[in-house]
Amino acid sequence: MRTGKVTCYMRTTKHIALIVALGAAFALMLAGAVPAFATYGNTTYLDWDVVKLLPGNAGATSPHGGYVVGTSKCGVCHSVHGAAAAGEALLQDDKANACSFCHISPGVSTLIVYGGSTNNYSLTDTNTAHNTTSLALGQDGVTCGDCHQVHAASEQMTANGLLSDKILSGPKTDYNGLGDPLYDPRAGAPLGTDGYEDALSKWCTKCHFNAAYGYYSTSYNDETHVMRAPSGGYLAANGTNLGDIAYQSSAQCGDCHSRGYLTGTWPHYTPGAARFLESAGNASLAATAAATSEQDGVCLRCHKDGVGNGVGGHY
Amino acid sequence: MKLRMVLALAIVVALGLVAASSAFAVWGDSTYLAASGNPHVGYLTTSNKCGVCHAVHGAKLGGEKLLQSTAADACSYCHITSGLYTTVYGGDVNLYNGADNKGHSSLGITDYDASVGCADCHTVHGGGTVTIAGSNRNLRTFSANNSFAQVRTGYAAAGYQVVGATLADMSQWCSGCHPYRNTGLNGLTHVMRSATTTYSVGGVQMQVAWSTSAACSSCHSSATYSGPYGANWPAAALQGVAFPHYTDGVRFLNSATADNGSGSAAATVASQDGVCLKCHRDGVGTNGVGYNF
Repeated sequence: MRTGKVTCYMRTTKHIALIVALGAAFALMLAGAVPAFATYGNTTYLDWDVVKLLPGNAGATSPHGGYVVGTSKCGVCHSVHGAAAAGEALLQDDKANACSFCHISPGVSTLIVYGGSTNNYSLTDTNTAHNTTSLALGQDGVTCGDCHQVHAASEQMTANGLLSDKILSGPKTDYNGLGDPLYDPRAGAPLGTDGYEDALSKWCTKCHFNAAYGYYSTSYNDETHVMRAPSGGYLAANGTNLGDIAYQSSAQCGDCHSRGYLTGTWPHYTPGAARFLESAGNASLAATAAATSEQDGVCLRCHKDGVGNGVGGHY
Repeated sequence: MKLRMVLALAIVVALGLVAASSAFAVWGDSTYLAASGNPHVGYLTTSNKCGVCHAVHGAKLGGEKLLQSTAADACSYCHITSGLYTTVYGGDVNLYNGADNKGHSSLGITDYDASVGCADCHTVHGGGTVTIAGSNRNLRTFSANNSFAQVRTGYAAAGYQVVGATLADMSQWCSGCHPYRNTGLNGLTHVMRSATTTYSVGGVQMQVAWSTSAACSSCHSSATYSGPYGANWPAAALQGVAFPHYTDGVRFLNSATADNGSGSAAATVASQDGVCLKCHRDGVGTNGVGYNF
């Protein structure tokens, strides 16, 4: 009879199964106990791809903003006890470059800008990008924090929710307490009721405006290009109605500074496109990147229609 | 007559045995003294302290160094499970041997943390203790080459680790293992200082914190353990401090309870933002991270 051996075998099998089950349970417990910190060399920051799955982060699309007691976002950028040596404010880098790890290179985010290269963010060439290097040249350089509010702080963003969706920073009012304009007075602050492109063009004047020179105008004869749709009834100086003198809209900043407009490349870095401009022989042709901001193709792209009308045509 | 003599002899032998056994308590096959006073300090030729922990000829099988157990667990009987002396870890040895994130544990967790036993912090014989104003808990002094210290390249070299025999405060002592005692704003670890109203954000001086971080316990402030306790949890006079043995808060952290940064309760997740919001929001909902910076 084999009863004793079978019994012994079954008992052993049960023991093994029990041990395996206990081991699995223990492993699961440990996994729950480990807080999803990723170690990068000697530093320790939360891995957003991991912590976004935590219950406290349910519904969150990014670690920027929406901080409540139960979220786990602060540690994605700030490491309390494992910060990078070159960092500021417990960040992985100094503040000007703190966004690079996620959004440029190595680029762990889904939103990548500057062509995924920090050289494009810090090159000496400032003509195809908003970038930082010109700070060293004594000019007005631009860092990520100049345009974006990293914490999505409500008081530091405009009244327009569509701009806030991209955490664009800016005052809510037209003037500060001393009466100084915060935007081009001809534009005013982006309103909550503005559409995205209208709000964006107003927002650009937060920086692209000074007391002597503005860039936003809806009039033909200000010191800067008019911003409007084609009129169909432009009057020449001698009173002649020339009809259309432009065949594309200039109502938004991005209508002329159009390279990559409304994509992630704009207005970060547009390779080969000086000042985000495009060029074409006329409005019916596909535009290409403008090699220089002075070239006439930037103008002909709107002021010729491709069938003989426009500048050098009927006027 | 013979019966009386036998009885008398038996009584004499019994009395002799009682006298000879002195105060030895027999734990199964092992024999240890019952403690009278603090057995961790003040050894004299006439004191009776060594035998409280070490049994010369009656040590427990499986123990180390004539102790009742391994060295790592030698403190458990008196200070965790028995309830007879100052008791910590909620009187539950599973909390001391556990692997969660709420205490200094003899098992450790699968993070960069090493396991921690009682003797890593306390000197059991009272030698090599550190002097900290107001503290007398046989806390160990650390050397610059402290083998228990978390290995973080550059931290000790950066001057964050404070070692020595005389320290001003507990935060300095913590840095013997946790070299995070930093007073600079842009260091490798969170600054330890009072809240200021002049932190520069984009060139603007503003307040970014509403509570101090000057001590380790400013953030690692969970100070209670709310049970369930072990079977022999003692009366109040023998209850030791929960911090930094085992507390309700993960990594001894407390979190704000309201999103505006007010309130305080044990953190349930080490990464939760409430730990930060507790200090970096004003408790009103007007100023703080995500509000005005």
